[in-house]
Amino acid sequence: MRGRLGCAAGLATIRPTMALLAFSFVDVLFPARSQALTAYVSNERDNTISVVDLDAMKAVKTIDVGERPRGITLTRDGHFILLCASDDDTIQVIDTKTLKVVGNLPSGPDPETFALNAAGNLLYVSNENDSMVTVIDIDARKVMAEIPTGVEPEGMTVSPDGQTIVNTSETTNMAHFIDYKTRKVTANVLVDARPRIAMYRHDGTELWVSAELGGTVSVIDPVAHAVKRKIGFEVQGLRSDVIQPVGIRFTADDALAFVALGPANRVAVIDTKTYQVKDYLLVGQRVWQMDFTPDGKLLLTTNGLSNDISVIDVAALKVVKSIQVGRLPWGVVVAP
Amino acid sequence: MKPLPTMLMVATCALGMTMVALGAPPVRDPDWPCEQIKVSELSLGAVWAGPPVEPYADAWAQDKQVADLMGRLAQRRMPVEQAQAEITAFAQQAGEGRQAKLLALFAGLYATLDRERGSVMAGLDRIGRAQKDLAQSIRADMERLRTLQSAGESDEKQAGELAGRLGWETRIFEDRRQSLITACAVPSIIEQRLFALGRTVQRALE
Repeated sequence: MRGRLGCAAGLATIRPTMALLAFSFVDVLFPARSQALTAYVSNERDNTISVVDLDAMKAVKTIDVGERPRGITLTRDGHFILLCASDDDTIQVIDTKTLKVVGNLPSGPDPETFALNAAGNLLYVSNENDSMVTVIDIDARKVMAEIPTGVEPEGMTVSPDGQTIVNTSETTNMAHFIDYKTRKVTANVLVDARPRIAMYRHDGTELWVSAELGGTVSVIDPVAHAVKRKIGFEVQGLRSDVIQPVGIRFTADDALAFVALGPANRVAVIDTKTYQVKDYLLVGQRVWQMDFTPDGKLLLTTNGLSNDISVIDVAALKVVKSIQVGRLPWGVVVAP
Repeated sequence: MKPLPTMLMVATCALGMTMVALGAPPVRDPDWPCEQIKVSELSLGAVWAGPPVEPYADAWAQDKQVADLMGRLAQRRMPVEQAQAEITAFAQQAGEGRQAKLLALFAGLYATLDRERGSVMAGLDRIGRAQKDLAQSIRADMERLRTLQSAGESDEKQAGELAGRLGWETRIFEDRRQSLITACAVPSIIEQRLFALGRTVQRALE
């Protein structure tokens, strides 16, 4: 372990002191900063995170991180960025005030992406190369369990009630339902080829799983463990083989879903009542992951080939800005 | 069995790399030599969300100003930022026929860069097939050499010739593999250029 985190008992212990210190300096010197929205983008090829000021709509800082940064999220209090440094076989912890790497979490080999539970104390990590899901207690910085799952685990999510963890496996082509208490796989649901992301609606009534090679999104009944609907995509002037669904996000009221279509360079906007695609927004090249601003008004997309993020006005369903970041942007998270 | 000579070890590694290079998710073309997923052709819908450009497919060539600009913009030696600045300047000075000229310009860029990319893809396909054939040849020659050695009565001259050929085959294979690292990036570079220029044209139309 490095830095402050290595000397302290855990994130919970160091948080109050650092938060106080950070408050006194930052708020005196930059009083407006606390109002600004900040996005953090992991750049897979540059081994960096771009810090994007969403008021100025530009990248304002670059943080050097570990090898092949991919999955990125924030602790629930917003004090720390958690980042999968896949080729370093670790999860790095970055202080959002100082923008310094302050520690590591024991992730298991090749962590690609992860999901936090609702309480924010447990992190579920997909280890792409060893067919495992690793469960980490964040404050104790300990591996609590390793759960065998399908080949090449990929997407991770936790049900809104926290009782079910879902992992997708790229090679097995399944969504695996894991019971929170027993840490056993309780059901496997076959979806189309190379499932990527699994995402629950906020009300927990459906689980959506994107299939990159299959070109579809499977809508799964999470109680019956059955696919109830498959959503396909068709864009005029677009070859079907470039439609490769990856990231999924629901608006807070679950009325709309956004699906990133990879090299189609489009984000599909889906009415969740009818499952019909309302629009295909042209964003950037190889659109991958997405995140909303906390007020839900903007949706950010990472575009791996055009090395930028696109900003979508959710109410207008219009792309309002492209912001250059590092090379091969993978994931994005917006600070609350 | 005698240990394999160093050269054959190299050849074995090279074949291993072939499997990595050619190994791929299920729906890939087995001869495709690049790590990047093969996308055979460009899709207009992946780079353009503006007004229809199909009616302008031939218009760009009939307008000398548009054709000259398109010809310069399509060349990769012009930095993308400079090309974007030229498009913006062109739009500002285009006058009444601005929309038609911009649509013609993009139609020309799409046709030209698509053709250029298609030519690169065809070249990569050819190299991929050649690498696959060469890998098979190396594998067969290695097997023959191993058989000669394990028989214990090998013709030294024949084994030497075979080992020499394997050395050359391995070197060619490795040289091509190195070249492919750069060549495989070219289709994406062309796509990036087209996307960036298309985005600038669309903004100029707004």
